[in-house]
Amino acid sequence: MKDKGFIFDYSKCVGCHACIVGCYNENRTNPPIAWRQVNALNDKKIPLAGFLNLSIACNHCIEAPCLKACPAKAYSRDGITGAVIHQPEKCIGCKYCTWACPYDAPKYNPQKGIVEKCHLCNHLIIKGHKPACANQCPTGALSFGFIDNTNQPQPFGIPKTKYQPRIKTLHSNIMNSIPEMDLSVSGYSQKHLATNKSNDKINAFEEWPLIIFTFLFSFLSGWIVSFKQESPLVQKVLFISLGFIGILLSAFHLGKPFRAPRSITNLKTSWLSREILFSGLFISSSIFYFFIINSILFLLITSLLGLLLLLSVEMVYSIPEKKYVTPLHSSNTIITALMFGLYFSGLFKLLVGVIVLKAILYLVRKKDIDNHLSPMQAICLTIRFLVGLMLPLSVILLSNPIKLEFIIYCLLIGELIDRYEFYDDLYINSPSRMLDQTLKNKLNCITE
Amino acid sequence: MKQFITACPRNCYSTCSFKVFVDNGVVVNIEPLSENKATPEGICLKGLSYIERANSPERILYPHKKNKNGSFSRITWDEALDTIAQKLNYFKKEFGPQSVLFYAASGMSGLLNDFSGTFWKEIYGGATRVYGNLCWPAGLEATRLTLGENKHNAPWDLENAKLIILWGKNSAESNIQEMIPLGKALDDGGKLIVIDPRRTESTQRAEILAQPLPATDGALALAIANVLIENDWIDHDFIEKYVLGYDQFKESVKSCTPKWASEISSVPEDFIRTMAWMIGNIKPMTLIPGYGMQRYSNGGQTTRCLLALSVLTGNIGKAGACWHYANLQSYVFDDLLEPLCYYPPEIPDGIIRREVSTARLGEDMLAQTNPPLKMIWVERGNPVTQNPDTNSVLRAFNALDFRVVVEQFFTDTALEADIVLPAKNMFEQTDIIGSYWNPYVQLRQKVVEPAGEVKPETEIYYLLAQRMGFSEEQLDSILLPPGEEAVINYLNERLKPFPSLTIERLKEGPVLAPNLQEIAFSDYIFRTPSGKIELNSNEAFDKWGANPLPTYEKGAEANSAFDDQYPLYLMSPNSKNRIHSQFSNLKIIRMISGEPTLQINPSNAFERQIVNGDLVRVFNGRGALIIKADVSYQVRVGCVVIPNGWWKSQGGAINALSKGRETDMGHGTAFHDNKVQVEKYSK
Repeated sequence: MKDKGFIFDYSKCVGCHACIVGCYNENRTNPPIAWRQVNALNDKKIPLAGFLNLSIACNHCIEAPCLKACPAKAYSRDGITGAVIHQPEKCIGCKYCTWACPYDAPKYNPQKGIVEKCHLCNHLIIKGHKPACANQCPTGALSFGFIDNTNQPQPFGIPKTKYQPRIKTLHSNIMNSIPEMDLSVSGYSQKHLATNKSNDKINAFEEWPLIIFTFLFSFLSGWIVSFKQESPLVQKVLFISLGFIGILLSAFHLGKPFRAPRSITNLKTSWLSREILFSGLFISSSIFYFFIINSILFLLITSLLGLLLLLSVEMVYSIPEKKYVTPLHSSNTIITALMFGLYFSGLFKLLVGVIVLKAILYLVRKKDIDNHLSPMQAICLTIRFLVGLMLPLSVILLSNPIKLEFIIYCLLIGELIDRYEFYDDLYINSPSRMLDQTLKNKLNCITE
Repeated sequence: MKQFITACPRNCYSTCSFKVFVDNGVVVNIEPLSENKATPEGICLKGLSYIERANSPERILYPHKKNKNGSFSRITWDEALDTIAQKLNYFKKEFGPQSVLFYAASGMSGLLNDFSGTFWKEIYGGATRVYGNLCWPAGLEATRLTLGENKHNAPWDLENAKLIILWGKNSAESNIQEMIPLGKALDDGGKLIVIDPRRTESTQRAEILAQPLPATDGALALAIANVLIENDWIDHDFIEKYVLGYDQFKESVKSCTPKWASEISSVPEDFIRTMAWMIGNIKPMTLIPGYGMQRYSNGGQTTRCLLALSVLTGNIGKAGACWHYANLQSYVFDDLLEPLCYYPPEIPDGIIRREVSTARLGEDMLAQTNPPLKMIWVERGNPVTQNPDTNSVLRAFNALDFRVVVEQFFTDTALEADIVLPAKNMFEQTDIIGSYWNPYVQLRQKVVEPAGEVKPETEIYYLLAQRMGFSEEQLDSILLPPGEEAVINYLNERLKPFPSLTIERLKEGPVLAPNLQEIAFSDYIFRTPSGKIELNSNEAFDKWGANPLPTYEKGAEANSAFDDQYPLYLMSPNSKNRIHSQFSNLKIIRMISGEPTLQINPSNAFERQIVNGDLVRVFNGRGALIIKADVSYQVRVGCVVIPNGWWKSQGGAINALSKGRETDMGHGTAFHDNKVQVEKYSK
């Protein structure tokens, strides 16, 4: 049964939403949450372009990214049907699976604080029935059966991945079907053309606990190198407090904060699990180093844990798509930690090098991203670049003696802004985003 | 869990069969029933939402009365019925029974509905009732005048067509299962033409989309007829044998050139010629007109113009060749078929007064004097939002002394009531239904006991009659006694003339109508006065004062007086999300269809500095709505769209803007002649 999946015919779907109501009846989903969506390509019916609908839910991928990404082992696979099942009692509400899935299958339910998802009507298919959505489709556009994805033309709205989604599409060429129309009554004009704006699942403002968490730990990972036995107690306490603040913020960012301990149950495949484990180990190790075993070896171990933590952070964020094309973001946590490490070690020549590297990465990235800056973005850009990079650089190069305290405040402000911008530069691919992109490309072809 | 087979009794083409599952007396799930060849894959989203609808916490389960402050309180059946009986007796004594208006609409079909009429006529001794209908009589009458009967090929025959014209019909939303044979026809190399001011979901596979101005379809059809005749793309044999009035028609369309029609309809001349070529040369052709087009003041004549194209090309009575308007072949139980049953009697019987037009409900209610109306009883309907000119309907309701509404939910009409009685749903009483699209007779089975204190209308009338002094012995021969047994007995009686139809058989699934013609008119018998297809109909003139020939008549609001002030046609089509105003309140439907919007073309929006999502004011001399703009190419320039069926409380009840007018024939409702202006709304 593992070779069965959804079969979707673009030429038969009229966007009627019966599949969603079928799912609602069978699985008692709570509006506005629906496990299946009907996405449209050209729902505004822009002339000179065709249109189609895509009904899509979870594709129960052979290589399911949600299953690998989940830090709490809330996902499992049914041994007989191959359905990817989400177990609500294990979910911690971290939403990471909603980032990992390019098909927009896991749905976060803010009321319950956890994610929910299509389970392929496992209880029905195991008895040989079809999933409710496929069973109820009144035109036969959505069905369930053996799938064979060889020679399948690129389907619309289904991001291309290595995950082997169990969905087969038919008749995507219906998009080329455009009736002869009288353009003068269609109101067609290029100046009116505007396509939908996709909803981003990542909203940088809403992700502020994560921004603070990653910012703090890249700072702490750099700062740790300056600690010695004789470092003032107040600094040690500040260090540990900042670590705890970071961890608490990330825990209370979860839909189910009190299930946070579950978040380290999937070390085998989840970088998020590893990130959380290493953050805890890093802080514990720091405490040990500060107050119990003050040896250089322990400092090395602690720094190494910090590095592993930041490596995990970077791996966690390798999943979302990026709006920039530079291979490195100027707010890469390892580079940031290195910068703070050099600062605290007093290696100013090297620090100049890292600041310059950051400045270059920053400017090159900004060049990539579209040139319509909102006022907020413009202010961020100015402060980030002038105060966060140029000012410390000039102070290091020009003033003597170097005004150390001034530099660190500048660097902290700049890095915090850059970390915010990093989240602003992330997005999650999804069927609706892909359909919008396809339409944009089609319209560009038309207007050229 | 028990499983039953039933059928959807909504006023909808599809009339789907489906399986329903009941667990512990609760409707829990629905599944497709492939035995119905017209709806084999499943029911639409509305049908699926019956699970929520039947179990909704918002359902009215008890009688309610309105308090002085406008809120409603639960009362007992005794209090409700006593109050109503007392009022009924009083009005009858003081003003006569015709001071009560009995208003029923199309909310639930079934044979038992007849008992409502029986109560008012036989028990109460009379009432006022409306004549006419909100929906489709102009097209029915046009078809009846031309072909003698309203019937068409079975839905699955559509796959045999090589040319399909969806003329003002958006099957993808209003008759989704029609997309199955339509798709098969296109897969087999058939062609699709869509004629519609909107680019609907149904246009996805169309070859040509012609977008005429509303109410100009008659001119377009006549120009196509002109090209067909000029080029001799017509079926002479067919015309010779079966058609009356061809010569006069030919003469009259000589002046209806593509240029003439293009100026009226805005459809380019070359489109008209191309469509004419296709219609004249691709056979067989099925022409599927929608019901929206005939809800204009010229609706009957427009329909006759369109139908002429099927007649000229001989596309009637053959597989794949059909005039696909309405199929009344499953209405085997009706003595008088639609549209004739909508007409006021030529000689009133003195018991039932039929002087209130459905189309002009508000105005006509207010105009009654002998006696004036004192009370209204509404069942299966929501006239406050669904009849034209909401403001006058509300005025008429307010002018009454007493209002009773039988409803499942607190609709806009229920909110106007003094007493609201809980109405049954489709799962709570057995009945038999037909369909105006598929040719099946179906059983709508009782599968659960009525929820709460719900009583079927038949029982409400029975109890009311008892309170009015009738004994059980007297009543049992007139009304239906309470209980399912009486229902079955009655239905068995109605089934007796049809050996193929039994309750037991119907419980197993839909049964094709007795004497069904799968290919309508394949016997070439036309029940017109001449026995031929009447392009020239004297009856059209005698009965309606219409031109005996199909002619283009201007729409009621297609003139410069309206153009200057109110330049945009407001279209109010049905959407897939509602059947008229039903389903609009359900959570799942609100999720899918969140809030009412006005669709407006980018070009018209740009002129008014309206951008997508702006609040706009839609208005004319009759009313105004504040609504969100959906700037979209789905509608052509010069038209705006608000789907009908939104409730007043939801902010989109469009009949605040429409006018109560009758169609040119059939006593239909011409509320689609509705022009408006749109402006950006500022507080």
